[in-house]
Amino acid sequence: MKKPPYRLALMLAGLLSGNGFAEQQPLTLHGFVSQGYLYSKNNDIFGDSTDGSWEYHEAGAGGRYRLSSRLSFSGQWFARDAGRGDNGSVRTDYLYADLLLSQGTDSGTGLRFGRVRNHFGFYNSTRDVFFTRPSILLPQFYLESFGVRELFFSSDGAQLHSYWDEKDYYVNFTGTFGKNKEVSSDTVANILGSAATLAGDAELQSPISVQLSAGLPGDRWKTALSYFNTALTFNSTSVLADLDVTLTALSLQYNGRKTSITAEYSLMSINSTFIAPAFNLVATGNTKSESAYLQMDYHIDEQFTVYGRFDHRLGDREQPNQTDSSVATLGSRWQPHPQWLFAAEIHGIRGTAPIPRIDNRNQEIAERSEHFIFMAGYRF
Amino acid sequence: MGVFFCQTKAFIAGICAAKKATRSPAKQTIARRAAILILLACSCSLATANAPDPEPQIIINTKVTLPAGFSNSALRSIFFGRMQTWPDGTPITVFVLPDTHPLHLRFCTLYLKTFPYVLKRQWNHLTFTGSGVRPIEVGTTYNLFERVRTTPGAIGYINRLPGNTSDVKFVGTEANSETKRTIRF
Repeated sequence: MKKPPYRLALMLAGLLSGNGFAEQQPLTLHGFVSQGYLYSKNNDIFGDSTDGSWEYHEAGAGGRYRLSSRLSFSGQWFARDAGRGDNGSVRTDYLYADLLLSQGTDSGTGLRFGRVRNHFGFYNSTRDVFFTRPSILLPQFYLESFGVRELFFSSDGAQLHSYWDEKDYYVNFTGTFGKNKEVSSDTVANILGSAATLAGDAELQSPISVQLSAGLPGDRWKTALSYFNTALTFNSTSVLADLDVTLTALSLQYNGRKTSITAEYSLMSINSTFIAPAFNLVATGNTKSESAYLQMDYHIDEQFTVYGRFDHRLGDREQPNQTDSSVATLGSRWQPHPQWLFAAEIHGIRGTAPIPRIDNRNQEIAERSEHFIFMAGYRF
Repeated sequence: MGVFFCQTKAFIAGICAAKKATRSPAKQTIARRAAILILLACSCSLATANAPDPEPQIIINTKVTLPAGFSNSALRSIFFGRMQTWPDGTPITVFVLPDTHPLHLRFCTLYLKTFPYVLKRQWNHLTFTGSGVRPIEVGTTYNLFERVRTTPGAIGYINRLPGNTSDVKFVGTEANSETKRTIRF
């Protein structure tokens, strides 16, 4: 087991815990650290979890510096160890300049430059932070087990963001235009499996992410429409391949006094083109996959919440019986102090898609499995 | 319903303790004191249960120039972290009470049409995406008043003054007709 890489974050946390940030300070800092324990039956997830695994921890630290009323800078650095899929190395989550272009009493528009987070669904932009996720593990909607996190999470480019607050509703818009980005062979192996024909480097081309969200005052009801498009070009020695990936999602949430209900649906369309010059072969194809979930949270009091979720995915709409998978989740969260959070959940899984292949390289993935997961987190 | 159940239980416990005090002379003093304490707690709890909901009063530092047409939607923009500076460029500093404070709950439902857990979720989102700063939490209404009074650009809420019908009250270090009035905490 690797040594947790977040000693620095812990030291900072100790120094800055409590209400350490005074008002009017141009620089504000934040951070978090979380440690999980997993025990599973039949399949491994994040380490050798069939024997019990501690190989799931996350730590991050960042800050925001307000240079003037119109210009600020934000950044966050993050390390995650999740079995073989993530090795705990520190990376830049986001680092951008935010320029406020205009602001009235009910609306505002700004532009961000740098590495910005892609807004997709309700949780993609904060998917790494235990304190902001709807559960310890995200539903299949967020493609957690497919190794695409690195590609999907943020883009290097420009982001336009805007809000309108009216008496009876509000509207938010975020549009991100990214530049081309090299994808390492490790990430390609993570997505396609180490034995895939397309092993080698790849390039992510012109990622675009757009989200339009709206809601009633106070988020009693809120909804979002998200769109993400990119092309992934593989430069293998024997085969040229191009995958054009489009994701569209609809999200809906109700927040009552005691109950929250969240539902999200996404459709992923992949147009693929393979060219093998040696064999004079050109092949094209299209695959559509869908995923949806429904989660209900019951807030017993301000500190304790229980939740249940049903999560379903069709890997290929043309072959629903061979590619579908379901996850049923029951869990609870307890936040005895604003800086501490504890959660436990059990998952009943049918199908192989929610299981990370990279953690089960030496074994056949079983059709059914169960997980028990516990996580403790601290933030400042 | 839950409050009524607890009150009934406490009342019965008080009566039982008083009965025990008459049976065992050696433990009379302790049991009598316990009975008085329990019955006192019971009556306090009844008084709390009958108390009206606290009425929040929005307070803003006197150095703030409130924009024309300031409304509930602008207030929501501020507390949801979308509006972060006043029109004159002063950063907005938001002060709130803890999630469990009755006045915080009342402020959330009355002015923001939301609940503390929804607001907390939004502040977490702002903090961890780098797009804003979460409000500063203070433990009591007195401290909240003091922090708003002494911080340029600050906004918060306290208990409403009797007879005060204005939604917004300016408070600051400079004495004026508004700040001279007694603030009830």
